[in-house]
Amino acid sequence: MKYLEDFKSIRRLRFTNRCVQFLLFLLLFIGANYLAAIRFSRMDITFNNEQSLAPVTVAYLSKMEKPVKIYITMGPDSEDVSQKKVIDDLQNLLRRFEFASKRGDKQLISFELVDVYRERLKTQELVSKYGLKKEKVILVTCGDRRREILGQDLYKIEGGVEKLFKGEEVFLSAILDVALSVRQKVYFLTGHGEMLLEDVDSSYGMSELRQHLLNHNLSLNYLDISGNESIPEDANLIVIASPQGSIARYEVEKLRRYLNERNGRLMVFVDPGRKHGLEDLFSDWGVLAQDMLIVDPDAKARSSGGNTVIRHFGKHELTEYLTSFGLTTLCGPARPVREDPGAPIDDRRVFTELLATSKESWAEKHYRSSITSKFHERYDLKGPVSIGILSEMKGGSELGINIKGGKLLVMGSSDFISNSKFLIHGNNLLMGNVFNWMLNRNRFLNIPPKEIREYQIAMADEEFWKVSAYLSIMPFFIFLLGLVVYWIRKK
Amino acid sequence: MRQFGILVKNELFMLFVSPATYVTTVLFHLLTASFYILILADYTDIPSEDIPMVVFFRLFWTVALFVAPLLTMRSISEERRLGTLQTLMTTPTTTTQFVLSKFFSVYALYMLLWLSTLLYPVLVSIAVPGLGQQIPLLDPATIVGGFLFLSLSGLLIISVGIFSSSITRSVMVAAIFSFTLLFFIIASGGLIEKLADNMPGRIDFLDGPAEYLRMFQHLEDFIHGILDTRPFVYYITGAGVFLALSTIIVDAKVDS
Repeated sequence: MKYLEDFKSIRRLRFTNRCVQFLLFLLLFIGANYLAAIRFSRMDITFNNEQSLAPVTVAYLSKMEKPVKIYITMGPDSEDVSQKKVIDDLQNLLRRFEFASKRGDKQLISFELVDVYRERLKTQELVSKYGLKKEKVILVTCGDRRREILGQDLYKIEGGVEKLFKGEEVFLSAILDVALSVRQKVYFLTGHGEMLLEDVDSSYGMSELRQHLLNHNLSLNYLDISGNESIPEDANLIVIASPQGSIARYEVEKLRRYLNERNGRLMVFVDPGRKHGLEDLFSDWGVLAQDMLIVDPDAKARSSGGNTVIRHFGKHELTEYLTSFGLTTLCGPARPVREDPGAPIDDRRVFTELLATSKESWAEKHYRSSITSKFHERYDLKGPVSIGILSEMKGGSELGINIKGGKLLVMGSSDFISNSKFLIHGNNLLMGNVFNWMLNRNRFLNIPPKEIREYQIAMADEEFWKVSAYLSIMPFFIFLLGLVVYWIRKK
Repeated sequence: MRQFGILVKNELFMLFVSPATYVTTVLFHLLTASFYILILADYTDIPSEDIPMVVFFRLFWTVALFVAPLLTMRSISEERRLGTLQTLMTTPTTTTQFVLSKFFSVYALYMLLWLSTLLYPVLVSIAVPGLGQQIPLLDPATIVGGFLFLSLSGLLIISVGIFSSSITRSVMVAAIFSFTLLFFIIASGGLIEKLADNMPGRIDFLDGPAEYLRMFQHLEDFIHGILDTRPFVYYITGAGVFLALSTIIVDAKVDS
């Protein structure tokens, strides 16, 4: 008691008391915020839930079990306005994915921005683990699995302007792709001298395409149907890359059944001067790929290496990006591939000529015998000549009968996938799009892309000054009020 | 509670008749109205995906940094300088009531200032009647989210100002201290993130807290119509800590 009556001691006690009070408040602050950080919720108050993921995305994410990590690598131009906009859009979207994948205090989906020039350790890790090669990449990973998302997949562009943001469906597709144990399988036909995936030869190898497809988390396999083997049940897509010899009738029959009865997807690359034996199958699907050689005398259509530069693209989602940005594709010798004029009319069949040569070009029939190229009205085909065609059979259900669909793509040159040309011009973009489209990737019908709205106002100088005058009413009015109050108080 | 009501009423009245309030209010409106005019001018040159109110809310920090110290700098330091604090404490008023009354009166004025900016789009619509058809001047989600953010962050901002005012007798020192502290609080998330960027791999554990404290990220969420529970807790508890500190300091000063 005597101790407490001492002023110095009382001051010390009070000081200690205040320190304890402060510490308790601080602890309360830290504790409450820690709990808030792990147990939080978000509410979208926009009119059409514009800031929320589609219900189908949320439903898919709720079934996820494995953690998925998304890396967005950036280069030195990350502060550039267009780059910044893309990164902002991605961050905005991926934060929603993060929240939707929350399980208690854990998040199954997380993302990270990596500056490849500053974060060396992280970049090295990505290089060694996922074979990162490019500066700006969007990698969706789950364990050792990875899938690369291309910037072009994220936006729908019309006339060079971004109109729709398709990020949600593209990311959902990639996330499910790496997180689910099933990988889509692409089979490459062999046995007829086709191009090989591991071959590093510049004109007849496909090692670049192989790497591209592996980066997109596809399972690549060879398929030989020359024996009794039938086409595997798990074949999502079959590729026939430049056969050097004719494919036997019974093999063609297997391919026909696969296409017609199993909603199959087939991609064929046929070079000029080679017999392929697929004429009947093509005919069934309304495609004509005659053995002719395309000649394009237009100077603009010739590259320095003598290859053909293709600038004309059909109207299709596969070629939108190329058209919007005025990109070109490149190929060497090519044969015409077009809609068969004699094919029976079928409402369910949809043809799209994907790319064509210039108006000045033609497809020459007797190219082997003639020394100089010359257009012959009688035999030759006048330009523009189609080099790639897509024949799509619309499936569905009518009168209780289930009708099978299918997709056939025929390209008149294998250069689009060969090592020497796969990575140049727009070939990579076009082929990447084609594979995704054939495999129905990035397509979730219930996820509408987000419309990109841009606002701009037209205001004359007179109107601008009027606006300024109206907005200065407020400070002027408050100034007057202050003067009145001051005058009253003084009085 | 009765004493608290009387104190708040008195504080509001003192603010209403104080010339400093009018000076601050006029400056606030000059600043925010100029921002709004410049934002609209920008829309005539470059198209933007955001509506003008979104861009306007993004500039809140410039206003908050200057206006909050001006509004709060005199609240407690002036009482200490004039010696009225000890006199007030002889009445049946607790220190907590005193600090809270200071806080609530300034907070009410701060929010009134921001709410009055809602008149800008209305005045613009009257000045140029067709403008509303070219661009949405008032979007409900942005307005609700934006003002909710301003009211939440305002709790912390004003409490920091009150705390700064409680630690010194000098009004100028209080204003400068408040400005500095607010700068660090507003930029804290970004600063930690920058630090983590410059020391890759070494302080990765700070990524989480940096993300949590990023006021600009909270703002982006709110103005785009996403209400997150985390900022609610952060701003309310943050304001609580600064007000508790202010109370402890005022208590100590009264005792000494």
